[in-house]
Amino acid sequence: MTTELLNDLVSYALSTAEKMGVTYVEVRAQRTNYELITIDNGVLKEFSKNFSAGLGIRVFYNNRFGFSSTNDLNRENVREAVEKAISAAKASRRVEKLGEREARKGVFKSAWRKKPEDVSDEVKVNLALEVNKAGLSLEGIKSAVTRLGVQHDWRHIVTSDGVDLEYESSLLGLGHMSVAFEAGAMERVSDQESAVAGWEFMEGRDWREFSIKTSELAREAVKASLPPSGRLKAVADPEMVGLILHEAFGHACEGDLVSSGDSILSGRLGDEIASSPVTIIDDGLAEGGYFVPFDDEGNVKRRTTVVENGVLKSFMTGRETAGMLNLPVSGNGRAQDFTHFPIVRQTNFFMTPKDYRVEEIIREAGEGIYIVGRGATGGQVDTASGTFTFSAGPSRMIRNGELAELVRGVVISGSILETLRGVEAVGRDLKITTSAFGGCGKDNQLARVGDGGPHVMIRELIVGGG
Amino acid sequence: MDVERAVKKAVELGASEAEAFLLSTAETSLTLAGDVEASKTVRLKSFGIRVAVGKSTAIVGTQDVSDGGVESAVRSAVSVARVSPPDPRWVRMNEKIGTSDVRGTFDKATAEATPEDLLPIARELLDAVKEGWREAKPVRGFLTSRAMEGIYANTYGGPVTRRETLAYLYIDARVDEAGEVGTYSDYSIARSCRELEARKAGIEAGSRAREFVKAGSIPNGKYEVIILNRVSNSLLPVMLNPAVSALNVQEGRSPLAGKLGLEIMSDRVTVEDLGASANTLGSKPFDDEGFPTRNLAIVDEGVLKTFVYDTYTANREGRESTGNASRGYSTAPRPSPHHLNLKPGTASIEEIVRETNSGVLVMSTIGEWMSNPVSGHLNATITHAYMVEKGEIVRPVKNGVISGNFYEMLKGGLELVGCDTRHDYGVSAPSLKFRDVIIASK
Repeated sequence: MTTELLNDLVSYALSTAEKMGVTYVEVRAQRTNYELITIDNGVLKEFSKNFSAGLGIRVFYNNRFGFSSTNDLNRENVREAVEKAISAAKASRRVEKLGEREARKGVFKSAWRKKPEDVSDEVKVNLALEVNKAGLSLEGIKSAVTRLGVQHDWRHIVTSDGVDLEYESSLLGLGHMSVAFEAGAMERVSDQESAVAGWEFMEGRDWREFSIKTSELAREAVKASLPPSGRLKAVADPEMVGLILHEAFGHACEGDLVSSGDSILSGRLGDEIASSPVTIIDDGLAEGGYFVPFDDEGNVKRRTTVVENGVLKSFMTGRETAGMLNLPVSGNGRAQDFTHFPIVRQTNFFMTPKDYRVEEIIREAGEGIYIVGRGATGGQVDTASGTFTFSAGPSRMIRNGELAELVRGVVISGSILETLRGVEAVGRDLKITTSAFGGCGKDNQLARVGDGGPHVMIRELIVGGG
Repeated sequence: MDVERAVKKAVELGASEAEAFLLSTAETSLTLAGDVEASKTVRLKSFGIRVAVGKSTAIVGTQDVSDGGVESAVRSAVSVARVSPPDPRWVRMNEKIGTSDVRGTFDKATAEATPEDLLPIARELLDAVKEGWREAKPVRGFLTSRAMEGIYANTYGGPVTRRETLAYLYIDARVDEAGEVGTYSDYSIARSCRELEARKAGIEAGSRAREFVKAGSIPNGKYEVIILNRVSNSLLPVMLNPAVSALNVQEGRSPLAGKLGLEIMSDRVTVEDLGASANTLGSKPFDDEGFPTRNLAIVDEGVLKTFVYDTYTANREGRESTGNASRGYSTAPRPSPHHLNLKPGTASIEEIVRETNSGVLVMSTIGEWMSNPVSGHLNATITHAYMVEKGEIVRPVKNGVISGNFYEMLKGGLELVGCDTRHDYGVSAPSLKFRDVIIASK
């Protein structure tokens, strides 16, 4: 499907919808290529390529939104999709007010030097094979899986109020999982590193060392005990801070959940909800994160200050939630792909650094646990009640102000507000990361996101252990 | 281009074997807040081709299903396979293409439902929340109807076609009372919109949300723990699906490797995979490589009987597939159960509670998917539970982490198996009661 043909169908959808009497229409064309190479115990288990292309159409008809999409791309089907979007609008609620935005035109491309699609399949497979072999070479490593993921995403959004924005980005990453076996016990550790970049990201580092380190950690973790179960003081590393912020707090700041009352933060703007060193930002262009210059409603993504020195300043919004909450449109109306309508999502959500050095934080913690993001599985939150949970990678106990023995199977839980109010020290470092393998799930949509922060000390978290 | 022509084209281009699948999905969905927040209909076609050139394989998926798009996918797959290193364990694709007799997977009205057709069910659901408690608010929910058609063919046969429908609803309710907040959610899932239990789910969400306004905390400690059937359903697939996959067993990632014929759970536990059972949501006539499905006893009275196989893992052991290939249209098949069914016992939930001296009845958890199926370590964070004392439910509680070894819990730790099976997509299980479970809390 050529760009010209897709763009022709975009114009056709726009004019068809306008003729059918809609007050507003936004048409999104998208073409995404995703390649995944999986090496399982030294053998190429999967080399898959996926090409997807299609059109998503959202209309505003009699003050109601309706959405439809198709990937069977011809004029007849596009016309039918417009009709279906209007029919869907008839089933939706009435929206009184939409947030104002400036209609922008432009082309945004993420930076890359060497286009991954110009690199041969053999080079990609050989890299993944070598990394896997290195990870398997350690004694005690029973199983190793390496994945190389490459994504190229092109989106074009045109709306009846004058938006015309085009987007192209390149994301790639390498992930590795090692399973160690010792004395009848097994433990897995997985890690990944990804970047919005070209193939130069792969050439720029020693990936064999990356998989060897993952295997070494798995070997150490299989011998480790579970942490003591109960309340502990915690120092979280930047990746863990990112996970906690995204899950425990970010979702509760999403305007749709706030406006429907499904967030514990509904009605709390202006309140002091975190301790004073806490400032939290959502920024679509943060270094190390994913690339979101504008959202899928065609709103430019602003740098949104959500919390400033402990005070809740704003929520993330799309046009509909901005209207409902009387807030500016922050550019967070994002859709997984052309088959979904935009919902409010985070982009790159992180805490800004302050003044503590990492060793000072650990010394000051005295006794507790140093929770590490490397090898973590993820997290989840119940936004309405404020309960969150996440799994950390192999972590270390803190004893007498120093890092002590490794612990595995670390699961943390807490409540959003208590945790943010319990932030006692914020480090001076900052790291934001993203992933080419997963993302954040909400309402059955997956979105690529970034998150991070500095090292942070939290007064108390619940740790599930043995 | 249809699947047979795509297979033929791949062979013409030099593939020694090829398989093609075409998936068509039609979905209608309402997002609910206090009202119907948004509606959509989606039509999506996805095509996948996997080829082998000797022992080298490649897969290409495309959602450009025009003749040109499919042909370019086929060409790309053959050219990737040509440069891929061979898999020494590759034997061949599935040669036994066929269907088992699974009926009742498709409902025409559900397949053709428009957003407006779903409105009455949405209203019933939203109204029922208030019926559960007059001050309860429905804050988030979905109502979705979906129809899927899959067509498969390979070098050895086909095409075979399967069609299924699925209807799903979910509702999150909230009650505000004197500055405190209570929440609860419920869901219903069925083959047809008609069978959805909207009113029941709404009442359950609304009335429980009221009860949980007063939820306290669970003291840190060891308890008799009852997990409600819906919690059993969320835990079982996370722990068992990867562990019984022959691929994970062969590649050294399953804690069940080497345990065939051994008693891995209490003799009160029997777990089947219902691949070919009528009125079971995960059942289908053939798996994702055209192999006929079957019902399989995985754990019989505590004894591990078999793992689940696709063609690749079966060939490695010189045996026949169990019809458990599972895949996305652009990914390689992997063996996975279709529908785990933990057979019910005889105790009702009321009887289980009466048999509990000092325990916790867990109604809802999050994060159970972060458990570790490789080590067998299970964890789940409780969002809603009740303390049980001397056979009675005494108060609602929240926030605590259940932690333990899944197999030890189901062996020595298992006290009772309920009779109250809940049927979800891909899993059916009753409530279960365990002794000596650690709950980390405040």
